[in-house]
Amino acid sequence: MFAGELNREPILGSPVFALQPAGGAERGKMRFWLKLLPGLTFLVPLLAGAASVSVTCPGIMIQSDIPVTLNETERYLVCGEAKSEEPFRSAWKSIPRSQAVFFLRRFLESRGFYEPQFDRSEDGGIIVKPGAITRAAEVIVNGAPPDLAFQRHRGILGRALTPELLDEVEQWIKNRVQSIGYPCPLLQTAADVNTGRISIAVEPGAFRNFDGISAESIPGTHDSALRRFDAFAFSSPFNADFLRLSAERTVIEGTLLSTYFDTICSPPDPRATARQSVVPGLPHILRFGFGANTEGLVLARTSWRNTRLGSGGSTFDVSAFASTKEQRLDSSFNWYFNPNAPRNYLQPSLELRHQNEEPFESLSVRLQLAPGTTWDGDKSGIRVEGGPVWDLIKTLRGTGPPTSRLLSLEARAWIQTHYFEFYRASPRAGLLSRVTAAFNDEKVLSDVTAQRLNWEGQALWNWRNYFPPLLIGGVRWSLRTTITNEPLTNGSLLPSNFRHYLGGLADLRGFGRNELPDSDLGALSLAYAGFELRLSNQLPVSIDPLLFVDLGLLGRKSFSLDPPLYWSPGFGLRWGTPFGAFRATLARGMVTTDKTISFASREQLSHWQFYFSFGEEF
Amino acid sequence: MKWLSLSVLAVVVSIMLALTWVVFHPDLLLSPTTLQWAARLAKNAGVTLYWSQVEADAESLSLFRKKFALRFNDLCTGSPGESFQVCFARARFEFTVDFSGGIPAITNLGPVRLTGGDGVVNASGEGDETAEEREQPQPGAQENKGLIAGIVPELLQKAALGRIWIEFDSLQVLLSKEESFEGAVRLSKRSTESLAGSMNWDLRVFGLTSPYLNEATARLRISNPSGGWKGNWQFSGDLEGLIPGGGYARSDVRAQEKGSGRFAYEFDGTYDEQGKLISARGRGDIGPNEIAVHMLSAELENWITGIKTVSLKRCSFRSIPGSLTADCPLTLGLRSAPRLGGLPELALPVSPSMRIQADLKTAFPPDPGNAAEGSLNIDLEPASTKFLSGGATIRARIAGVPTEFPRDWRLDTEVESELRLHDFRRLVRALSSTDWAVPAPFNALDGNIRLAISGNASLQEGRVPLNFETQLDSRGQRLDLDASGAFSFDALALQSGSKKGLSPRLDLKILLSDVRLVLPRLQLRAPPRILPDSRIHRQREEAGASAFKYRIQLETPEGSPVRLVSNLSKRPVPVHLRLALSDSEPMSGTVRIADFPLKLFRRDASVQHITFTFSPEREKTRLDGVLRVSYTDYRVKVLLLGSLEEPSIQLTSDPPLPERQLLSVLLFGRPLEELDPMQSESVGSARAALADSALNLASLYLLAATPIESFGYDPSSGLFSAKVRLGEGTSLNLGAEAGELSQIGIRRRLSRFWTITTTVGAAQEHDSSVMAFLEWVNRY
Repeated sequence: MFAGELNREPILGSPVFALQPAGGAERGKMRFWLKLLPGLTFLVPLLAGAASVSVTCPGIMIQSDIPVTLNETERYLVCGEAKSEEPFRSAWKSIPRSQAVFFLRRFLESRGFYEPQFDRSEDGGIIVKPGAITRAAEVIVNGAPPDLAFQRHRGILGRALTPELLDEVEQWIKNRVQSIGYPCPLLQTAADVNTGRISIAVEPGAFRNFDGISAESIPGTHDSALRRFDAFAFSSPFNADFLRLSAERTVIEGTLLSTYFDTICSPPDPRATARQSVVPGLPHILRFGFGANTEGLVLARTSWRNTRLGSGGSTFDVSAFASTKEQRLDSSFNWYFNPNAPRNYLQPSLELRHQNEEPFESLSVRLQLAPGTTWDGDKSGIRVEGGPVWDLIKTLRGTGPPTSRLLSLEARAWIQTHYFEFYRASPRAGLLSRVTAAFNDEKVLSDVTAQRLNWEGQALWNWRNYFPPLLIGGVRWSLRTTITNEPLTNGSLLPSNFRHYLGGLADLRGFGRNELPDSDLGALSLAYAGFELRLSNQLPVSIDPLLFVDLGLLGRKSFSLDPPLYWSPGFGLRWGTPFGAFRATLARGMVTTDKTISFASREQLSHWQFYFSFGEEF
Repeated sequence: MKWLSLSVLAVVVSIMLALTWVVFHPDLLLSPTTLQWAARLAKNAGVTLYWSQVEADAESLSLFRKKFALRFNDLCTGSPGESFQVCFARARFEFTVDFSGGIPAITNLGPVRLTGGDGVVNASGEGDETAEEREQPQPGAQENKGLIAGIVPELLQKAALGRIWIEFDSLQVLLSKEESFEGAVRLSKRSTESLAGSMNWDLRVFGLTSPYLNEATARLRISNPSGGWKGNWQFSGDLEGLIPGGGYARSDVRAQEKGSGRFAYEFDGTYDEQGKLISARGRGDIGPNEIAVHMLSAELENWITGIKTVSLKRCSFRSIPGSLTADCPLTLGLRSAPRLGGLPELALPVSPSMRIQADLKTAFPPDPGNAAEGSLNIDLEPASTKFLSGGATIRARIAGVPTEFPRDWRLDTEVESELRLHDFRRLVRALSSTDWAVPAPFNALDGNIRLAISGNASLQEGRVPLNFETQLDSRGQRLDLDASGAFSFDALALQSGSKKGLSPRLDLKILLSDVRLVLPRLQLRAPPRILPDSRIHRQREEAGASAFKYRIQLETPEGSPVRLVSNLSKRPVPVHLRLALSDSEPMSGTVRIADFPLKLFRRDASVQHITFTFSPEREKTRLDGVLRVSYTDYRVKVLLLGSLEEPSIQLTSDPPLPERQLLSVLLFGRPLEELDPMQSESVGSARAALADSALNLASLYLLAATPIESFGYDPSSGLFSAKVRLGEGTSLNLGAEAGELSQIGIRRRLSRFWTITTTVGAAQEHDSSVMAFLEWVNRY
């Protein structure tokens, strides 16, 4: 009944955003989850007569349909501390009724009860009837920039009118205004408990671009070294979200232990929009860790990193990783050789790897020298790197030659929108895509000629751009092909990592890990697309139900996809926690009828597949 | 000569013969003709007499004593143009004249019977005649009037009065145009044996209508015990009637002439007006130049709301030309004892007594409509109850017209009054279950409270001085304050009789001379929201402004701050106040926390000062504070700036250190280089929170007073979380719950070295693969 709609009227040149309850025919647009209520009618008998009566202390009883519990300090202020003899307590041993009523009124108001009744019980105590909660019925925003799009913020109407709600709305508007070019907004809020109307007057201040960052210096590091983490381009419109993203990038990389940006408002600085403060921390990071990945495997990892080498803030990293299916030793050096061009780097790396997957087991060594650069615009960022790669691959089990040597020229490019990265902990919008191309020739220090082309990515949509999101749609895809003349046979010179497989949490969730194709030989071409629809923030305790369908095709030849179509419809639940998301999915692996696959194989592949993961997002 | 002698003899003989004839035929003297002649003579003297018919009889009682009887019909005296006009339908006069002395003298008068009277007596000086006519009497009228005035008393001087009966069916006496008395009157007197016998008259008035009494009946005996007309006359009787617009009055009256026009009188009367009663008994004197009343007893019942009786005993008034004095003890009989807060325990005396003394210069006789000036003293006799005691003395100089009070009055009053509350704790107990309950922590106090009105109060200035002091204490607390000020009002409005324009106002200066109070025990985790959120408006706040105005100054004396005891500070916090509270403006002034030592950041520190400057313009409310924390090698200053709602916290040191180093030292007591990763991150988060003004003063204090294990801050939500160590092995999370912080990345620090990290993409071929690690991380 509080399905909000937006009325936007320009008044004196400033837009007025009005979030009001829908009326007339619009009343039919009830909240999605309300439509589910008829199915919950079986709970009615359980809930009937469930009025809450809580005894706060002897003499004070709260009778309410909605449980009202006072915290320890509040209880102290309304009940006193009769037994204590300490000086500062004895003065508050006894709280008279009128004072208790005063405090109770304040505490109830902070919970949205503005019309409480206080009756006297037979023994002279206080019977508190908090009454109905006053709920936000209308939100009027005046003076905000047109791009505020306040209608995005749903879930305000119908909530208890409390200081916390006002704080939340104010903070959202402030963040939102700061994300559309206005670093220094001022807000003035008034709420009327009689009408439930919240009025917010916004003074957005001056529109600004990213004009510069005034950063604290880091001993031994060039002042501009931190600019490689900037998730924005100078002269693009100011966006405080991207400042936070930049700080997060810096901390994740380990270059700084902590950093944050604060906007410069008073007095304004024409040369700098924000000030970056840093806590560099010591440069060496040593890690030992264990965990699990999305395939349900036990993992162990250790690493050592020097995060600030030279004036460019280069990094040197040595890490070891082990799981039941893969063991890896990596060493890489990200050399930011020119502090004046902090986004350019040269990355030599060495990798030793042992893989023990279902179709194959291999041992590989990889040497790489990859110059690269990054670029960030006002909406997205791009990273491009490429260079020679030398691979030594020993196949210990499965198809492929016992030993393969390959010298390749490999190029990789990533594009990622800033908001995809910004909302990584709670994905809701944006695009991430990566293209990889590796070229080699058996005439140049390679045992086989095989070119690899990969394009994969995912895109997310927040339906109607709501905050918090209501319906999140996503699609992820992967197109891979290996261009070679080598046949997919047991005697082929093609090593295992040039072959493609499907199945698992990363793509087709109705099949087991690398279960497809129904052969250990793998495929030379792969196409995958997954579609997911997640209902967000409608169920309690941050549980989101989701529906999905994954589609996949494999091809035994380059640039060629063959039937059958592998697909897996399914559903699942996502539980967001502060540490990451737990997801559980149940999908049915299905194979379309085709003469290339036997009935028996199809029957074997068609089954229910359950996955439980932590940290995995679509 | 012979002829001349014969002629004279003949005349004398003729006269003698005539007289002899008259002696034996007295009826010749009083005939209608002679009466007409006498009437003309009287008219010339200014006395109009006329009648429609007259009969005269004469009887010779002896040679020289003759008895006459006159019977008139429609005997009138006066005329419409004169000051009086009286007519009797029938009049009969009988009198005896003694001629033996040569000069005729009336020896007996009576019986006289005048009935069917109808008259008008105009004493207002306003008649139908013009003033000129009244001022121009007929020639010789004054001489004749004087002759009559001289003869008539002489004629009656030795007369024995027989029965006299004068009956007016209607007699109207006009004292002025507005003041008229009308009624039926009967004046009678029994015959007197001799002139020396007492003279008693009876006066009856029936159906009296007047501005003062209606339907009144008066019975009055007028007597002269010494006989005759001269001597001390006495009056006694009763009077009863309906007071116009009021109730029924009745009184017994006795009066006695004391000579020189002075009378002593006594009265005992009652008045009943729809249940409102007055009974009074008194005596006094009244004369041409004195009116004295000595009220033996008087009681007013049900006249004043809330007051059942007003009793006056031995209340004296004396008025002489130019002066009125009064001395009047009175006792109020309250319907019920007034109760403070409606509590029987706080009842005021039910029968307060007071004494009113006045010495006024005013007109004589006293008239409330005339100006009065002088002194008025009111003494409220000391009284006490279970809780309260007090008394009051008011010395006033007044000038004004009583009936127009307070308009154009001058009232200079010196007031000495005191109300003392002996046992504050008992008051607390008595009030504890009421809406007037004394709130904590004041309800733990005990002692005395004194409220006094002392000083000069002036009606012209509209000012009443007030004093208030407390001497209260309890374990760990003390509340001694002295307040002085005044209750004022618009004197002009009061004098013009406008209650609405009074504009009452209280100006009070409260000196907190010795105050030590205990604050409630606050939990670090969740400070309560005690004050309403100023952003949320309620209907009752929109009610019209109160007509009562006030301005209260709250101050602490120099060197004696208020000491606030809190569980958050080991020592009382000294606070200097200089605040102004008023009905029309927000609080203004300063609250200054004085220099005092405390433990901050696990160090001996001190508050140099923290000053809150409140301004009527809310946005100008400023915060200015300096905290000092001393270390071996440097001293750190924490500057508190900005506003109370958005404090800005700045750190400086001597010698100067970078802010992050300062925070590192303050929060963890070690340089940044020696911190573990979690602590270093906390330093960064704390800096971000300080920069965003996300920390209010309470949060800062909690962080400073408690060892911090970690501090997190989310700029998106403006929320912070802190983990503080309460003791060995126990810790407490402050601020936002961890789940409320929506950090961008998935990286949660669990403890000093342990984190949960979720990473994306490990294997080259499967970048979407996600791994979650529980990691031990250390920077070195």
